Amino acid sequence: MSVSAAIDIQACGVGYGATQVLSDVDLSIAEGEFVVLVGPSGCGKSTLLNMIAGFIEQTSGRLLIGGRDVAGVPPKDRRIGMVFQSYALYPHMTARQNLGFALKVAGLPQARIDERIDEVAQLLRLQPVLGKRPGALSGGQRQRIAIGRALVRDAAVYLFDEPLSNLDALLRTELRVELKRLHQQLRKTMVYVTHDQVEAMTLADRLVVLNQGRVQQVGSPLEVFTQPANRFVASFIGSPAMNFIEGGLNANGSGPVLELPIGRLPLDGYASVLPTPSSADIVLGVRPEHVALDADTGPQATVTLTEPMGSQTLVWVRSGGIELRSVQAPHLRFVPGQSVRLRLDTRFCSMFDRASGLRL
Amino acid sequence: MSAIPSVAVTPLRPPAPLARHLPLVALLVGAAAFLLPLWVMLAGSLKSMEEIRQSSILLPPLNPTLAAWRQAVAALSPGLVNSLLITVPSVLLSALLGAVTGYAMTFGRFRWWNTQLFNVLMLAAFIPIQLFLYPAVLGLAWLGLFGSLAGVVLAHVVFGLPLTTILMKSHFEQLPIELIRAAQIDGAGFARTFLSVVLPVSTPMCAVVMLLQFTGIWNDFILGLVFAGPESRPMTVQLNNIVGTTFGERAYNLEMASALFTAALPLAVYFYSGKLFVRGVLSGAVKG
Repeated sequence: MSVSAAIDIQACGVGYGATQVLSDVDLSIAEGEFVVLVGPSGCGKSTLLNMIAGFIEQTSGRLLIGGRDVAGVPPKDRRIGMVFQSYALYPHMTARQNLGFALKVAGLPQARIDERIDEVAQLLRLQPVLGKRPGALSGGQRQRIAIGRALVRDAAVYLFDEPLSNLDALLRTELRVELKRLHQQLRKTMVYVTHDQVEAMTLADRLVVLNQGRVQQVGSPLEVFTQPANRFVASFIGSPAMNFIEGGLNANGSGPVLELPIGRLPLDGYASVLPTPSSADIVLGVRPEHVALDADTGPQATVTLTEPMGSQTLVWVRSGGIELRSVQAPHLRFVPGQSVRLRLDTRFCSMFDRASGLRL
Repeated sequence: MSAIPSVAVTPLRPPAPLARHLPLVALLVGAAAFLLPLWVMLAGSLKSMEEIRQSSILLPPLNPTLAAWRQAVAALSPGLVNSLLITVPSVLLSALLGAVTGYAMTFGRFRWWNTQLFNVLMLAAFIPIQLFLYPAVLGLAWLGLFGSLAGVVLAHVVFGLPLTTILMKSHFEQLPIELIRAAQIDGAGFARTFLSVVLPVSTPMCAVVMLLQFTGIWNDFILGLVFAGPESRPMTVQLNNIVGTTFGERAYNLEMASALFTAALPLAVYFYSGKLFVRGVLSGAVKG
């Protein structure tokens, strides 16, 4: 256990009777780190956050915040700041009173409270709305007040529970950038829960992908994106979603070769995490970005559908009885029925064991 | 493609005048029916006994006189004071205690106990009060409060608690849990969360509970009759004594003036707080 760990989660689990919401979570979050918990709904990410906050007590394992075991410590004594999805502002107080409530409860002198409020208000550009009540503010302003209310305290850890999910798309991207700037500026430890993979990728120093109450992978966004630990992570992270091709792996004289419905493919430049077996039933994961359609040789394919998205066009092609997605530049006009040749870049592929789903 | 069958379209015509005004007429008739007794009372209280004997009860007073009202006010004034002394503390205490209990039951830690307690409360709220009278008399006598204002107040608070608790609890349950959690994160303890966050956002419900309690306690007869001594009888008990006493002819004008006088305060409160009441009732149903 490192001394600098802001949060240390050791083999924590949360279960109610027969249902296990979280199992065997091991996670150490460093001081100043921005960690994003991401996963589909019901994966346990909010439970994990509420466990750190102290609203849910773990039923097994140990949880340390700032090196202190917080078992039985109520939320108010855990030195945390928290931002909720529904803002949860006090409706009967002005923005200024909302920001100052925690400091008032802590018994700080009014002059010091005002000073802190003004600092945070400046940071979040909230001065014009300080006198207003939450009811008179827009969604974006409300969430900024909520963020300010968390930041105004000198907390050890700041927790964010899907703070941007209630906002419209434009505001969400705006506040996302603002949050990232804020973190760069303050270098505070932040734990952020979201189901939005774009938010997760863009904000995180480290991503924690959860599914069915278990940690699937912990790593930097790029690590998780390029080397997903298993099929779940591969399918959850990345948009448009990864192509999965069932096939076999065989070794012949010149090296390992993939046997795929679209043809045989030598496995070149693949960074394997496990020692590559000489033969196995596998699922090959190829991101649409790595399906090239401009080859002179290679498997034949027919374009079946195109989805222009503006910055890129998603081209669906059929080959060997399977359908693949390929991302293409928008100026390359593919039309359904068009004949193309496929090239899969095995350097950027992921190979998963078909039975266990683990990356090979 | 088969031909589309033609449908006779009825042209839109404005409804007949009668149909248009029917709801209004119905409302007026209804209002008149409900207001008629009040009118009879008001007119009767302003008539002399002679006029009451001679004219129809529906006619307005020809020679309005305040004599009956003066008599009623003189007779009921001690009762009015007692009623205020009973009602005000009873309303405040039962509403406040109900809010505290409801809060503790909603957000407290003892879930199993709270469920059992809630079932007991539901039961208690719907058992007729008369069943408890005898044990309550013994209890108050043992406390030395029988026959005093404090005794009546205590009885009202105790008998009012199930209802106020249930109402406040069901309201607190609808508060967003994140609001409570935000207060906890901000360092507020159980009591501070209640006073600084939960209670202020619950003012409409508090108003509803207090209004219900006010009408109930002001109009109460049986608790005042049983628990208040001769000195501390509330207005309703005194009104009953006036109306129930029969020496010679019945003083209808005095009885009507007394009844109106007794009902005046709740009526005024309702007129004043009608809007608040509606807002309070709806505030739980519609998410703000």
